[in-house]
Amino acid sequence: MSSYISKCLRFLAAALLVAAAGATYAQTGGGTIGGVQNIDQITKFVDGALPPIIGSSNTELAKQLLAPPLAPPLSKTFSLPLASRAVFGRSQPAFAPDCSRAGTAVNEPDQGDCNAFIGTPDGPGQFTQLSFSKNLGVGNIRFVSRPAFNPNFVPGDLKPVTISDGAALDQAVAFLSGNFGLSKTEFPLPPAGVPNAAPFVSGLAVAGGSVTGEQVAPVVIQKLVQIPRGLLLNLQDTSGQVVPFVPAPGVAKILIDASGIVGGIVENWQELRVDPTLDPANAKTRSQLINEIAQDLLADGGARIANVSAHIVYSSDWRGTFGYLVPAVQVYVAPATGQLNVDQLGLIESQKIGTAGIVREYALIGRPDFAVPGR
Amino acid sequence: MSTRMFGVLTAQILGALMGCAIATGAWALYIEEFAIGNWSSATCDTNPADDRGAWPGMADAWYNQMGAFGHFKAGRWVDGFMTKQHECDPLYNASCLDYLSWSGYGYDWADAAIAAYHGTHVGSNYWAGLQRYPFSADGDCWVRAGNSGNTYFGDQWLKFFIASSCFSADASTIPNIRVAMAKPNSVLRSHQWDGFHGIMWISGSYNGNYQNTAWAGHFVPISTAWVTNHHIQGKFSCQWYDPFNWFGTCKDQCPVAYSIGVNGGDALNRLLNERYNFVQPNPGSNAGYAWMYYPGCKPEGSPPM
Repeated sequence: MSSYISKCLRFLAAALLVAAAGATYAQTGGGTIGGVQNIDQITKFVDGALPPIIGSSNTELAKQLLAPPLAPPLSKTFSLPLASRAVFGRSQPAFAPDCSRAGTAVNEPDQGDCNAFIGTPDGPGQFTQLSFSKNLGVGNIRFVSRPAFNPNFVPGDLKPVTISDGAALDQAVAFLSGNFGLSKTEFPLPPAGVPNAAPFVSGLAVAGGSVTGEQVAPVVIQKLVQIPRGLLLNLQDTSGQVVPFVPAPGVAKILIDASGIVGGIVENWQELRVDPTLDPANAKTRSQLINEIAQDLLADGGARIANVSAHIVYSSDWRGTFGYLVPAVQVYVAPATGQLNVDQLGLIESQKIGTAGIVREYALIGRPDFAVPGR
Repeated sequence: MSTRMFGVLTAQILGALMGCAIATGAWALYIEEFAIGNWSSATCDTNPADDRGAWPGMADAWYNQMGAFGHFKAGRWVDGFMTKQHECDPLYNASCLDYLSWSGYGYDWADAAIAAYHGTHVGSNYWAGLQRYPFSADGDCWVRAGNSGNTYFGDQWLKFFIASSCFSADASTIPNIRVAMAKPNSVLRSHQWDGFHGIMWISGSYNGNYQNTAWAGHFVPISTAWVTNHHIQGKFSCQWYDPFNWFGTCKDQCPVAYSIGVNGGDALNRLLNERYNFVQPNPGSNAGYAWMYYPGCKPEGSPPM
């Protein structure tokens, strides 16, 4: 009974904290559930999250962001023979009939892919496919492969992947640059000595069990290397803190199992150009940005806040075969942070609280002639 | 000819005409989408701070790509009168309608479905998803899976379920997800459940991850398609100077894929092979289960995996 009362009291305390939430928010020793903030409180969160590089005048920052070092685009560097050799070896794939058509019926750039493959996509057989954007400005390249289905599989057949994170990253970089035409200069690889030496490598594991107590011990069967695109600008704030790379549209992923590279995804690695109509003189001030972001969050589902974080990024204004770079601030709103405890989870249930995080982008440079929605 | 057969044939014919027909031997699936972007204009959660306008678009991306492969788009249900009634099984309450045809949007009418709405987990027992209106029979605003006794998928049709929802496959609930995938005494069972450990993130810029899941799920296992496309590493809650997580200040988004079988090995084999165009026979039991995940993945809301 006493534990029941204790639980009730803790629950009540958590509820009171959230009910009283505002600039402060619930924290009961576990994680944090954000309260619903008013405009002043949201403004404080956003101000605290915006990089200090964004100041009262951002013309110089905008000038720097509008002169990025862009590597040659995939439309110039992607080589089908090279990619095909890397994926299929000496085997000759079949090409889908529409591969030669780069335009739509109404003569617009086709945003779809050309598929080259060996095997049948359906059924149990082995299959390998290379897909790439018909207009490479779109920036998609996908390589998928699977072995034939083994109906007699037993967990002992699982082959653990033993490659180190560093070696996996090296393999991925070599594959992407050597076979798919991605420029290494747009890989924001960490320098030696940073605390997180392998920020782009994860192990993928499988495990199993049963109600009879059977345990299939976890086995790491793949390494996933995912390299986000970054442009080297060496942004620096007044305190001397340097942010070398600015995130840009595009991510490249490589899958490695015990046999080697078995898949790759290059997603949205667009051909990027500088927008000649953007004027650094129209860079928004810090207070303008804070106000714009806070008002938007208040108006559209972003007012429950436990944490806000933000980065300077590039967004893209897509034009059919290329994208204009849009310097922007990417904002992440977490309605809950940390490890929520049982009382906090109970509170979410009883008070019907939404916890999914929000990601939004807001243009750093204004356009006097028309408003660009900050999404 | 049954309504279902008519739909399948129509889908295959349309697919063939569009030049994207699924190949001989594959079977068009009935697909459905259940998504909520707005809660505040309904009654369960009137707080506008919990609305997520971009969420249905993420589910749409999966639904539309599945349709492009020739599967039959049996229902896109967004906001509206979304209640537990369409998700729960009559074994829980006689008013539950998960078996209803697409005109009544029952979850178990689809072969493959995606749900997209806020979620939590109730201890280590089960995931719960927040609806727009309470269920008239019990007044509850949450669909409840796992061992809640509310949900039993697969006794009708539902084989592949994606729960785009926070905590929808939280590590703490892994042993119980299986319970909602098989109705007691039914010979038909669900095959796979895909979700998230911890909190997930909403953005129109993530639509492509859902589209890619549907695309890749026809060439490689659905499990791999799900986890590869939804694992977002080191991007959330970072310090401003750490956009690439070099300093380890960031959190992740942590997808999990899950299957059942007569034992762990059987479940694992299904997890490692089933695709939207390569559907394994009905699982012989839900006694075994297997899951795919990223060890060490560090989301908001839950401990690292």
